[in-house]
Amino acid sequence: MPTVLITGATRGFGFELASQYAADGWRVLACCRAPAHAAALRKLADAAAGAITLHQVDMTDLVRIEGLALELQGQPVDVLINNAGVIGKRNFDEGLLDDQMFGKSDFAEWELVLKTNLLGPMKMAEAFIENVAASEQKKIITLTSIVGSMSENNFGGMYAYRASKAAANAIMKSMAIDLKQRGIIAIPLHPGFAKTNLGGQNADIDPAVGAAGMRKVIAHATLEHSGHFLAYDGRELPW
Amino acid sequence: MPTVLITGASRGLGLEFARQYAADGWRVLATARTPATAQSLTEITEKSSTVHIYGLDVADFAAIDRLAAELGTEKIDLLINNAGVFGPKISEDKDKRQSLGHIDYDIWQQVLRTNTLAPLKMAEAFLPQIEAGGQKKIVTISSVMGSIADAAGGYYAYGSSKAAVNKAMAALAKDVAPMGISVAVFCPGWVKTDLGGSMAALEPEESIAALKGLIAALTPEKPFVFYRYNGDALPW
Repeated sequence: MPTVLITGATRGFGFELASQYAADGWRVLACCRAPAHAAALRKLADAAAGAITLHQVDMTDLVRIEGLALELQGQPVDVLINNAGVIGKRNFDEGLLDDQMFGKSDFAEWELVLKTNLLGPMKMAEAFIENVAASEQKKIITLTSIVGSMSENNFGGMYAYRASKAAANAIMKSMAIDLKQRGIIAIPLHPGFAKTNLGGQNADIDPAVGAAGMRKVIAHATLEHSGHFLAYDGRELPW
Repeated sequence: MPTVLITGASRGLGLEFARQYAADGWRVLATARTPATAQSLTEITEKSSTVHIYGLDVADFAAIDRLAAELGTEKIDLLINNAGVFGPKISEDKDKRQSLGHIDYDIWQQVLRTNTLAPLKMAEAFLPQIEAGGQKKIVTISSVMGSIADAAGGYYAYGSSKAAVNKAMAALAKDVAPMGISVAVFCPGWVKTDLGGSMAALEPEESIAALKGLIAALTPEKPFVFYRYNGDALPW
């Protein structure tokens, strides 16, 4: 049975992905900052008869990422999903758009966003490369965002978040090139603007829909798709 | 969520096991000889509601029986026999009572009681709870210093206690395999704890993360191997 590692599995897309993959018979390595407090995820794991195991890791703790890789040494990972991410110190419902405006940059916020959305995923890919290489499917997926697309930016603002997602697109493109020889697929994936804690109540889609779409795209991904910026609904997006 | 019972959790490897399993959301039953002075362990309970501390000296077998009775209805997925003593150290304490010509036989017996007998006593006392658990694993922290093939001189009490517990656990493995219980002995590496000393190379976080991985992979069908924390097989 294939194995998927998902970061940020406490809620939102991470939780949905964990739930859907487990229902499909996958082994799920569900990672999050505080498994002890992730009530819904714990309940899901308890009901899953061992298919879902919980692992503590914070994307901003690069040393712990190494520790987690040590713990999971030798475990093939068919799909590594860098899902964990933050939009800023506040999400949409809390007033994000008032933050990250020109002239108002909070550089501590910048650091948090870059560390979580960019450095963490890079470290995860590097730390788990042998797990992925040892698997059948060999896929590294990072949830980025259409917000990181240069040509689709008609809105302005959201500096830290946009920068982190554009940069995440950049690293996935590089990975696709560097890892092609080993048959490893690297894809930046736009998950859709969903009604999660991050997206807020006024977002477009249900996270379950975004997750289902992403799983389909991931399932059909081949080396041909590696290094392309894809979306949950199968579209290819412009950089 | 699974439950782990860890002996000797006030410091060192036991504390790190408690910390990491608690962080992963496990229910952690942690024992220490004097919970009142186990500050670091108590701090973990403040961060995590799934960690519980019990007073236990594993050398006191009546106390093990009492704890097993107290925890009678628990389902224990994993027992980690971590509590252990080294005995006198020639390197740091210039104490020769584990050296040829100076062996202290009373100390040797105390070391055997804690390192060799107590792990079996724990296994016997908690067998019902482990059988009731989902994962059914009994893990004992041993040491490469218990290896006979790779024997160094001296450290008669510590070395022999670890060789003996390896043998006892090998027998336990055979006896409990029909119940679907896995038994394993691990050398954690030379770790920076009070026992390992400051010259040790390995941080507890690293050793424990690696051991957790090996523990997760245990099944009753796997052969009984003396694992080093990095997955290498050590010679008996």
